[in-house]
Parts: sequence; C-alpha cells; structure tokens
Amino acid sequence: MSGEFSDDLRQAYVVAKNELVKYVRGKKIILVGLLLLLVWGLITALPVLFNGSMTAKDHFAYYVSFVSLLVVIIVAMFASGAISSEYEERTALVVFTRPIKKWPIFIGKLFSALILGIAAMALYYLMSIVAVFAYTQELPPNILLSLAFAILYVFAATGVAMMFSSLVKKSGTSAILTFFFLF
Amino acid sequence: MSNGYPIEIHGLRKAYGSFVAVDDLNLNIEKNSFTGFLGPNGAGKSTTLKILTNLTKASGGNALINGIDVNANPKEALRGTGTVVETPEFYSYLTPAETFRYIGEIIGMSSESIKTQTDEILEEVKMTEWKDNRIGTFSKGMKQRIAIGQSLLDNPSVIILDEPTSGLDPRGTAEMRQILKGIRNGKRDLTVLMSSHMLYEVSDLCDRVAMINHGKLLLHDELEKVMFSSGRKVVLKTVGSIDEAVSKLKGLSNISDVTVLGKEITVRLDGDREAQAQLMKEVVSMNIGIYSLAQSGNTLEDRYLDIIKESR
Repeated sequence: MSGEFSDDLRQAYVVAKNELVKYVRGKKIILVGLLLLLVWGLITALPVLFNGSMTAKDHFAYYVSFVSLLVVIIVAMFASGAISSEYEERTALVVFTRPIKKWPIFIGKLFSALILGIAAMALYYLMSIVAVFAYTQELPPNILLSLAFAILYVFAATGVAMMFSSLVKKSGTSAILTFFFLF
Repeated sequence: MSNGYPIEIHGLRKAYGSFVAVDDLNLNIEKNSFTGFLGPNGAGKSTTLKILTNLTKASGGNALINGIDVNANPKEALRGTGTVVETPEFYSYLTPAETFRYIGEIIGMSSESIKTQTDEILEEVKMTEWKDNRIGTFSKGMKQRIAIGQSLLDNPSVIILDEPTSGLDPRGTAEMRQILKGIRNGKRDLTVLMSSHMLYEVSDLCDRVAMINHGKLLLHDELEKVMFSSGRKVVLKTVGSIDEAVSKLKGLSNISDVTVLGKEITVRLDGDREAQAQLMKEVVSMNIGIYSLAQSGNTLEDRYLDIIKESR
C-alpha cells in the first residue's frame, strides 16, 4: 500500500511539473507579469507624481490593498482551468486513460497552481518592499505577517477555483464562477 | 472470473437514466488478435471502450483487462494498456518527445527507456522529423500519429483504439492504416481492440470482428468466417461471350448463384480460399475469355448490413 501511495505521489509530482511547464510556456504568465507590473507601477508612481508624503506603513498599505484582487485574478486565470481544460481541450482522453488515479492529477494541478500563486505574491511583495524602501528609506511593518495572510488567501482561493474547475467542463465558466465567488 | 483472455467483458451494463447504452454485453477478446469492434452509431461501442479505459463507470457487470477489473482497480488494469480514444488532443505547448516523456513518467518508465522508446516509436509513426516541434502546430493526422505512438509506450500487451481514423482526410487515413498494419505485423506481443465505422479498414487490418447493436453482442468470430459464412462473392470479367461464360459457370459444382450486370458476372462460391483457387483454375481452363477474377470488396459491408438489419 505504501508503495502504491508513493507511486501516486510520484505521479502527482509529474503532473505538477507538467502544469508548471504549461504555465511558463503559456501566454497567461505574460499577462500576469504585466498585471503585477501595472499595479505596482501605478502605486509606485502616483505618490511621486502627486508629491504626496507617506510613511512606510501607509505606502505599503496601498500595495497590500490590491493583494486580494490580484490573487482572485491570478487564481481565476490559472487554477480555474486546471481540470476543466482537460475535458475542454480533450487532453483528458490521453491522461485519464493512463494508469493514474484521479487524486494525483488533482493534487499535482493544485500544487502547481499554489506554487504559481505564491511565487506571484512573493514577487509582488518583494517589488513593493523595494519601492517602499526606496521612497521612505525604511522597511514597512508586519511584512511577513501580511505575506502569510496573502499566501493563506492564495490557498483558499485556489481551493475554490479547483472546485469549480472540477464541477464544470468549460474553463471560461469556471473562471467566471471563481471570479465572482471570490470577488 | 478471469479466463486468460486479455480483455474480458461479463454482463456489462451502462445506463444513462432510462437509456441503456450497453446491455448485458459479454465479449472475450482473443490473445494476439486484432479485433474490429463494429456497430452503428449509438450501438454502445464507444461506451464499452470508455468503460474499458476508465473514462466512465459501468452500471453493472465487469470489464477486465489482463484479468483485472477496470471499475474496481483502474490503475492496475490500465498498466500495460495503450489507448487512443476518439481523436485526443495533446498539450499544445509540448513537443512529441516531451509528450512521450510526460506520459512515460506517469506510467513509471525510466528516463533511459523513455528516450530509447521515443526514438523508436516516433520512427514507427513517421514523426521523427517533428520530434522537437510543438504539437500546437500539428495537423489532425499528425496528432493522431502521436496518439498511436503514445499508446505504444512501455510495450503494452493490450491496445484499445476508438475510431483511430475518424475525421482524417483520405491521405491521413491511408497513413494511419499503414502505421496500424506495421504495428500488427511487428514483433510486439499485442492484442488490439479497435472500433471503427470504416469496414474496408476493418477487413484490411483485423483478423476477428465483434458486432454489437443496442448494447448487445450480435456476433464475434474470425473475420474470414464472418465475411464468407454465406459464401464468397466473386466477380468475373470476360472479353468473350457473357452467355457462354454464364452457362459454363453454372455447371461448376461450388457455384450457387450467378448474376450478370453489364460485362460483370458475379458468382456466389461455396467454400474457402482453396475453393476460390480451384475456381480460378477452372475458369482459365474453360477458355471463356475471363481476364479478371476478384473477390467482391463489399463482403464485410454486406454481412454487416444483414446482421444489423436482423438485429433491429
């Protein structure tokens, strides 16, 4: 049984690896990168343009206020199509007919979506901290706590997206349901 | 439960509400056979193959691959089974080599084995040239060759093909048939179950046929027996007198029916290949100007239509 379980875990790893390749080679990753840059750029530029003076805490709060929206968009773009796209694009006819249980496929896809969401948030926080430090010459408070909550939200939102992705067979429907459920 | 057949179906049933797609189906597929699985649209072929490939669950009965119940233990049952269900799609961002690596890793093949087999199989399905191109740019025919190729990974003992030439153009169909012939004639110890609507393809590739309608098995036998159970239809063409040829042909012992259409004479021959060889010898010795003697190409189609008609 443990041999079978470890084989299931190995297969989940293979699925996760393939999903990450899909994300990296797809166009959506560029859109997410542009979105992060746009949000970060606007929040960074506006105080400079309007010559406002802010503390590190206030400035950081602006960045953090967009985290939930970013998480919803990223999760809706990636995790919401993880399972449904297999049916929609007929790739399920290849993978699901192989000697693999459903749960390693699900876990592999969930894990890769979490990695992407966490990586995007980590990058956004890093960019925000650099900008806040450059502007105020001090580090904002509670960075790790804020990041921890953001990651927690990534987990919750990804779970919701995966649920919709498993229930419907169209990625677009799943993305819309995920977006409006979390928004 | 298992009788040593690579594929065993016992009392299989699949119902969608009140509609019964597969109704108490019993079928055992012989080892090392290439079995054509025939039936009209909605007969239950695809549903049966989807149950065998774990894409849907049976409502009752058992489907076993190598003695393992697919419903109860799909992972073990599908180990050593290659599948091509309908016209599958592949991840457009992967190349054929990467696709084979992904599937090979899922199956649990070693890296070395994946690499070796990828090269061999891509050669076999004539896709070596496109090994490192992304599948997103491929035609339907090329994707279907990849589909056949991936089903051969890890030397499966059973391959299940659901209409592998469906939707392909004539050239793609011919190429696919050549590939399937190569697989059939190759060194592999393989049992193939293939559903198809292309009766010519089935008579060209398969050595056994199973026919179903309304989810029930109508017939399962050797192709030759099915095709010629009511005699062989042989078409003769003559440059001589039709009347003289017909008169002489009617005098032959194995001929049961002689019909004329234009310059073609169709005879029903009772007997096997030897009887056909004997007929050939006799018509030459009759000196009635026969310049062509060929088996009617519609034999399986005729039998199929008869059997399906009877089952209605």
